[in-house]
Amino acid sequence: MTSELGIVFLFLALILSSFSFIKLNFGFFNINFSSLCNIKITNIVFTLIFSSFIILTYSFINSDFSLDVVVNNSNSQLPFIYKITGVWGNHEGSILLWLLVMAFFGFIFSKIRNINNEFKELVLTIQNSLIFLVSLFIVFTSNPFQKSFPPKIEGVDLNPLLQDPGLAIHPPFLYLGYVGFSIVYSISLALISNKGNFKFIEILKPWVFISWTFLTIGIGLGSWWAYYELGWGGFWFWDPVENASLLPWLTASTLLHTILLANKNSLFFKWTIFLAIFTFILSLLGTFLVRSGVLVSVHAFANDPSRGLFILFLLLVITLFGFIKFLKILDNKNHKEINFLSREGVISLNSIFMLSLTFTILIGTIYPIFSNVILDKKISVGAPFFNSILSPMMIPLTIGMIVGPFIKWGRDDLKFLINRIRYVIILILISSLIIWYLNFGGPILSIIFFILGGSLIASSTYELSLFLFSVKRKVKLSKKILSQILAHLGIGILIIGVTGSSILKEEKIQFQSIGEEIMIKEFNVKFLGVRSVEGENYISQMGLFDISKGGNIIKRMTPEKRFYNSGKQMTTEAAISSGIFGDLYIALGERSENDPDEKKWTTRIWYNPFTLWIWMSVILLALAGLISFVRFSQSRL
Amino acid sequence: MRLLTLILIFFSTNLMCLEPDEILDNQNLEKRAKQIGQQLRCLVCQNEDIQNSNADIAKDLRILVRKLLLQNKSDKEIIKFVHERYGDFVLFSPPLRLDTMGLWLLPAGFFLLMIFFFFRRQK
Repeated sequence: MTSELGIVFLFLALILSSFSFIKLNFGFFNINFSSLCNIKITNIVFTLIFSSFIILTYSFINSDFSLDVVVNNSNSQLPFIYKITGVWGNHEGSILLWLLVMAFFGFIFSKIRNINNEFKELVLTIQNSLIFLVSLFIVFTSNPFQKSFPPKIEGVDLNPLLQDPGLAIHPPFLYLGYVGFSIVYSISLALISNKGNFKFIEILKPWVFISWTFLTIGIGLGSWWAYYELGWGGFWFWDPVENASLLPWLTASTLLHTILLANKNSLFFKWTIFLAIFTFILSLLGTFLVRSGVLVSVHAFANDPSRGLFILFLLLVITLFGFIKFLKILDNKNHKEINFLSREGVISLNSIFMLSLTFTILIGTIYPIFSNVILDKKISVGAPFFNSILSPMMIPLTIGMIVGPFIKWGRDDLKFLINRIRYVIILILISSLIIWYLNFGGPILSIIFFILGGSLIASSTYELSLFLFSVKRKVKLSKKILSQILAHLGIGILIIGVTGSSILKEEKIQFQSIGEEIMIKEFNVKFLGVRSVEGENYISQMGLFDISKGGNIIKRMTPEKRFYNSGKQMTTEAAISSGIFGDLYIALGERSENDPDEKKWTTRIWYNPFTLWIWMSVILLALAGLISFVRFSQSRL
Repeated sequence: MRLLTLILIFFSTNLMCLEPDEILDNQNLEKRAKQIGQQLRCLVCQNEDIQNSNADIAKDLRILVRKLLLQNKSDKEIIKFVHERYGDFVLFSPPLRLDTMGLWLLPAGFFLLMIFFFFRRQK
């Protein structure tokens, strides 16, 4: 019975938010509409959507198999925690989560005290309109409270790949990031209507940083999950779905830099507003690409186009609305000229390279669809293409991160600059020599990127030491500087991690007999056999491996293959032993068919250098984002 | 957001990839086989190269690449051979032609536009 209430609440939210939508559009055509309290609407709409979400969660916990989504994505045997996370492990539930996050951001925004009431109304009108559009989509194409007919007594099960703690929390973080940019979009459009009052840009800042932080964590969690769950030790596949999350991250990362200049130079103000709007559009584009099925195949899209066309419609409306508004501030008035050799210049170059990178990945992701539909030619664009673009782009970007923080505002002088960074240059030379020596014989590409990453780490550490060990104690380590240093340090560590685990990866794939030892790096991997283990809702074959180093056993590793009772599906659970220099990664394969003694199994053993550094970098980046968030949420208008 | 793809990967293949009996004894050749394999798409999968796919066609292609390597063919010749047989779809980095021009020209044009936007001289 309660499940009927869920859809009723959604309907009410739809109707209420439509008032804001109507008001917004009358306002757009310059027709004055009687005053309407959007703050109240935001609060009620949030309460309704939240209740609806709780009802759906309750239906999952109670295994209410009268609902389609519960039947298809849950099972009475499912562990409690996955009953809850199953709520967003499907299309309908995840879009409802999306809507909830959107309403949540509006709700929090409405609670901020020190914002001008008129401005708040304006922002919430836009945010409520976005909520209206998404609830329209849910109610008409993706109703999570769809009744199952005839009612079932048992559910199919949640896809076993999704029965994992990493993936359970990945979507909420990703959505907090993606959808956080909806409020960024709303505030930006309100800023335009506010005749570009530079001071109001302060309101935008905390939202940009917190959304970016969530997006960073969300992408990091997804990558981490892929690494340990998919069973071949990769962490990034340039899958269109991954690209969809990377695109808004790249524009948002650019935005983090330009927003600091937005109240100093009108060019950066316009550019910041553009990036803020564009980031949310890219988030929506990602949703369209993933949810419409257009990526899987154009035919899948054509067979069931209702959802895809609806999101395409949303995308077009929101894009057009955003850009038509944006044109209002795009005048040809003179702005302050930018010198190449200045902090403004470096940040401009950062924008140029980051956006070119974004644009290339965007083109690479959608060109195959375009080529298929318009030119009737099937082509593929994958990892080799993206890597060949990303690698050269990373060189100027990294150099910018190394030198940038030492360049002066306005105009700098090359001689003075070199003098200022002489210690950095020495540090870079020393670390380059060490890396060259350690990595001698490695592929040239790995040497280049280790040197870039190492130099960035060195320069960031040097920058930090300038503040920590400043003798005169004149310069205090502000949150602003600390956040910048941590973020750049994080990127340096990320470069090392990505280079190591993709270029220098070692693999050993073989039929391994019980008792046989395989050497990889300095580790001796001894196979002891396979035993059956029973889990809560699966049975698994668990391989036993003793790892020794220099004759001493240091660890036992137990990769598994799990067979789920309900869906009769299998997952691979790799065993990973992480270390600062690299991960030992073991996946268990099949028993060899050609072996009469039944003692040989396919084992896949990898050594992934520096993979841990990737996850460390995510933590550092998130920390940097949080520090800036705290800094800007404390500042008062 | 990645769920859909992953579910599809899960159903279309069985998670595992290169089998031990396919591996060449000659380590240099195997290394080259791996590099070539990463350039080629498993035709029935979503965004998987033949090296990491368990689909039958990926296995056939892996074996074909290794057979050609043993015949002393160069990397370029092998990729060309596979391309001629299986069409553009098999290449992860498309050949530069009139219809794929946009893939390179659009980003380049965008780059120039951006430089103009930031660094043009003021009147």
